[in-house]
Amino acid sequence: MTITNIRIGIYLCDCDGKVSKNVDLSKVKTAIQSQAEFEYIREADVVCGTAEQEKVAAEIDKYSLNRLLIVGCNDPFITRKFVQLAEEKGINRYSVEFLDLSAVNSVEAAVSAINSRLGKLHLREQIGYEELAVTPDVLVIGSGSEAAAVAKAISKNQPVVRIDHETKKVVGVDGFPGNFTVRLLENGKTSKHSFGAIVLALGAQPQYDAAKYGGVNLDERTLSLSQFINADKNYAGKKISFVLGKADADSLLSFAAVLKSSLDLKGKGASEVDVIYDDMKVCADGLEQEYELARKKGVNFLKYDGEFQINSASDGATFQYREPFLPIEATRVAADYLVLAEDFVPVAATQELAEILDIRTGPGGWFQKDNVHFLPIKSNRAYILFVGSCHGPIHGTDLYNEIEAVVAEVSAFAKGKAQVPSLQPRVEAKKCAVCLTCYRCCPHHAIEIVHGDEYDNMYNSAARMNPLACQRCGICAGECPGKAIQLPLYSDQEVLFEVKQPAKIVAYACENSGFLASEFAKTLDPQLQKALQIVEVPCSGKIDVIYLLKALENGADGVMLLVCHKENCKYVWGNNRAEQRKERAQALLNQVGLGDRIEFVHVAANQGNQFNAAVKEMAEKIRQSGTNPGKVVK
Amino acid sequence: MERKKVLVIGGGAAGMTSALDLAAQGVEVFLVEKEADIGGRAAEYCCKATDECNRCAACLVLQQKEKVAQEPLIQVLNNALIKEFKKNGKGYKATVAIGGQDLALEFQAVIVATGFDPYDLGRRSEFAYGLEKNVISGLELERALKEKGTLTAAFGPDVKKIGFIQCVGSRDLSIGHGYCSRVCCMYAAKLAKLIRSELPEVELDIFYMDFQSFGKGFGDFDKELRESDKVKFIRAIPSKIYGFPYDRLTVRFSDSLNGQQVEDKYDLIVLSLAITPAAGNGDLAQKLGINLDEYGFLAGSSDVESMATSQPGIYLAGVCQGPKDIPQTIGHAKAAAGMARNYIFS
Amino acid sequence: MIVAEGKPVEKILEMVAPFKKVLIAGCRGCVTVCLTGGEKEVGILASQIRMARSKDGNPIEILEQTEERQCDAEYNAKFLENVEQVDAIVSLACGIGIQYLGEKYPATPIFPGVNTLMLGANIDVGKWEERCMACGDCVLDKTGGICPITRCSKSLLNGPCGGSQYGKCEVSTPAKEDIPCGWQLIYDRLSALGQLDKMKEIIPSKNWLRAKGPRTYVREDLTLDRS
Repeated sequence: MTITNIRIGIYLCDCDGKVSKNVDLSKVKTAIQSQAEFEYIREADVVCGTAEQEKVAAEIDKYSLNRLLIVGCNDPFITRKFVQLAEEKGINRYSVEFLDLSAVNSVEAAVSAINSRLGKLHLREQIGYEELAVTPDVLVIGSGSEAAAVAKAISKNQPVVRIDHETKKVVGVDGFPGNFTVRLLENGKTSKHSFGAIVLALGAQPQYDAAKYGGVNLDERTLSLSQFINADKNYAGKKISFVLGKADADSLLSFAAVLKSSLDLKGKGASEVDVIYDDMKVCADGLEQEYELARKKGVNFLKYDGEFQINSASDGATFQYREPFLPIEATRVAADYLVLAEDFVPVAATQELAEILDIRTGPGGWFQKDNVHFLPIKSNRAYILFVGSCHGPIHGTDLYNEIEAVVAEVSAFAKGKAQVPSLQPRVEAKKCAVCLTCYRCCPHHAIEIVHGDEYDNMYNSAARMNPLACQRCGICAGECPGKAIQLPLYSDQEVLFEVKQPAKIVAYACENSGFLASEFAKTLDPQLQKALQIVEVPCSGKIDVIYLLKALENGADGVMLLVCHKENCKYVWGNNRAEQRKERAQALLNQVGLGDRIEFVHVAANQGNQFNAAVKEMAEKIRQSGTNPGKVVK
Repeated sequence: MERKKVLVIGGGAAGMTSALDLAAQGVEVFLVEKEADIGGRAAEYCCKATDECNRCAACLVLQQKEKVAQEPLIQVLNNALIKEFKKNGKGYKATVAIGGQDLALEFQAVIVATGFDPYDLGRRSEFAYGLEKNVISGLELERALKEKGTLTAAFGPDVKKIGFIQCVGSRDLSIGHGYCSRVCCMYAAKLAKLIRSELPEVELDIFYMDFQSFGKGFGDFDKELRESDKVKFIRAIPSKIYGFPYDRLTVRFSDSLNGQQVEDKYDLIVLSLAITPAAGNGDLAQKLGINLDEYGFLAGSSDVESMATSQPGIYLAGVCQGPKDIPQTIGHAKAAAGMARNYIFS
Repeated sequence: MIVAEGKPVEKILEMVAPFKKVLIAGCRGCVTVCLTGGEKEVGILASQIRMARSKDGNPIEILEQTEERQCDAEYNAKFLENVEQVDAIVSLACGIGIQYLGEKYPATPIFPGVNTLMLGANIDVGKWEERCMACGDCVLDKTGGICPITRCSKSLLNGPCGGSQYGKCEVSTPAKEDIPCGWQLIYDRLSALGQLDKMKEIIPSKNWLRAKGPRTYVREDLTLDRS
């Protein structure tokens, strides 16, 4: 895509003498003037000073500048000030670049860094902001108390429709955040409704597993916890013993319920209440306090360890176990009613809704991938959110906190409009084969195929990325077989421009992991990165096979992919796609005898040491494989 | 139109989350941090991934830090303290002391995200913390692993047996800490797993009262920890640790199986120090006119309501309100930001 | 859609060995959709060949161009400027496109960069299955919409052979995924449709002449007299 009428202003700031200490800025200016394309250039002592800022503002008007390159330092304070100034003048943050010269020691290095940044600024797509009309209405799916609570909380800000997914079922969802079209089935009839956001609050299903209690079946005197709670009988004068720990090991739900019931029973005159447990699970707000209160009220807490035996009879039940702190073989508790904790499992509709909504499930079949980027309430799709036990049992303050997080998220649509920077990928229709590869590979369900005369190809159709659904990972651009998709700020042109004259090792680094690790690594071993060039990408899923090959073709000896750990990709499977592409690229190299030159590294932002170790390994690999013989001399 | 402004007190995981969410909605943020740099405690944690991510979420904090640095709408004020604080119409104004200078700020809402302090063992010497160099806190282990990369690089090749002691200062009524710090069991387990992946032979023991596990797939994680990772769980909190006269650390505890006192030798002891209220909470609460709970954490406006405070337009985010892990902190801070946004635009 | 796979690069390197300047021609049709011959693959193959030749001390210049369809002469005309500059062409289009582009530029040698495999459906990203063999005499009406010519290893027309076991074809090997027995699929579909009686209908032996080439197809109602 061509960008016309780019007018770049370059400011060479001395940063109060810090830069000219190492580099002669006037020489830099002369060199830039003789070779680069730009509209205006000047030096300044302290370009962030108030008087200078006014001057820059006037120059933006005078020379009709629409992009800025500020060369000097990279202090967040300065960048912030400058972007504010530029935005006041109608140049948004995506058209302002900063280049830190504080570590540069020669005029040549400075000029080359400036040229590289200028080149990228020239290639950059113009990014504006889009104001989109959205439906404030939120659909809450679920019949239980969690769904009721979240619906009530959202309704403070915007309209809510709650369905139980039983009498009224979701049978299909089209569209995107802000304008989901949901098909609902009720009494055999389907109808379409528009919602801005969808909240899943299905709750969890208790399930008694006899195998966890030595095969004991439930009866009159031995009840499951949910049977006990639902029965809500009068137990005055009776002795109740709760057994915890065998089931529901992953949550606090049973514990919280038992504590509440125990206090309740005590208040209503039960003769005795036992809580037999192995681990007291109190890691939630208020639970430890409730536990203390229950002890004060005379609830017996009995710890067991290992095996136990349950016997149920018509007049009561017994629990025989080993008390870990007493030197006796067995202790036997006899109660009128024995209440056994159950496991919680996802409700039946979970999988069905996951398929209809194209959202992922994780361990145990609960909603949501077990990936920290999605916690606590997010799905892989924007504005389809989880709350409560449908993504893993939860209760109390934690539930309240999740509800409020959901309220905060969906209230972005409360006013019926949303403003977003148009950073979603652009599709050049002429090159789009409408092959659906991007549509299928998008982890966020952010792509649709649109039709119309304006799409200049034989199908009069093209893929389009929705600005509210798209999360700017660039996986689609990396997949596109027609090279029709370009991600703003990271177009192929911009990325490949960086590796035109590559360093010995080019490291494509995910901005969430590898890039941050490299910054940390620099502080640990500044020398190591001298022969290394970091090329930042928004997600390793953006690293195309051709990026790896081009770096080598242009002369690098080795290429690295620095990606997030498994199950930690912010964009679901970007790191897995990167690994597959690495395999392919290495196979291509092997086919033509270029040797082992690609290193794939899982690394996190806080792993500077591991980053350095990987760089050393890459260097060793190159030492063994020798200089890249595939370098193409132009 | 002039942008709405919000003051965020504290530049850790919670403060950064709230600040970024507000900035994304076009709100200008003053992010006040008492230390020399933002990031908070979690920015010092190590990555606990083994062959895959173990969901400690520490990396998220560094990602946020980078985003904050790039966000023009967030003005970060490091080395800064709230000196004065007053109502100002529907909003507030404050004097912030930065170094020797005072900065006057006006804003429409406040998010308090002052985090926590680890339990100060003070004069309690039974664990020899501060006396023996190989008795360290969980945070110190995190920091060492982050800075040095491996346990061997940080503590040398002679570490053969490591003990984690849980609940140091948590769930302890004798010091008025009638609460669970929520995160320690999981981070100790994850650190143990990480160390196991580096050192297949080292002995790993976790001393605990009640194991506080939660989270999806924890069942599998727990099984792997006990079976293939061979982490030994000992249900006891040691009563005494001493170095002299041996060259290893001696840990005295009572064996829950027979009630006998046992002594065992360790090379490294990691104390899971409780999450306790940040030192300045009392002073800050007084300035802002908000309440503390019985333990000294900042108090929400009701038992369940944990973001809103007794003052309109002032919200709590993260661990300053009570112990939370990183994802919970982020969720909490997002909710607080949403409330602040709805308040200033209502 | 036509499904093709990339040819091993050593074969392509052999083909272009005598040449110093080559055009790699991609196609935006089927081979883009099946991820084998679009602009992306053109770039990858070009880079790989450049490096291979550099390594051998015999550098090659490669031009890259991708157009709508190589099975239409008008689109192939767009390659003219580049073709004029090169010694040879490697086409990543299907067998049709390769030949048709070659016909357009008879003076320039043209080589296949892909093996054309089949007429298939895109099951999912990176997965294709054959559904039609272009036999020229469709029987899908009799077989519940499932093609026995393609889906049965022996292209049987009247029920399975003895090699149908538990719904699988005996041709299945442990190395590749089990091949379902085509006639089992037909039976299942017909049974779901309540048309099992169709199984009894004898399909007469096919006129395989219609499947034999070289085939041409002309529609008099559409042919244009340009005189």
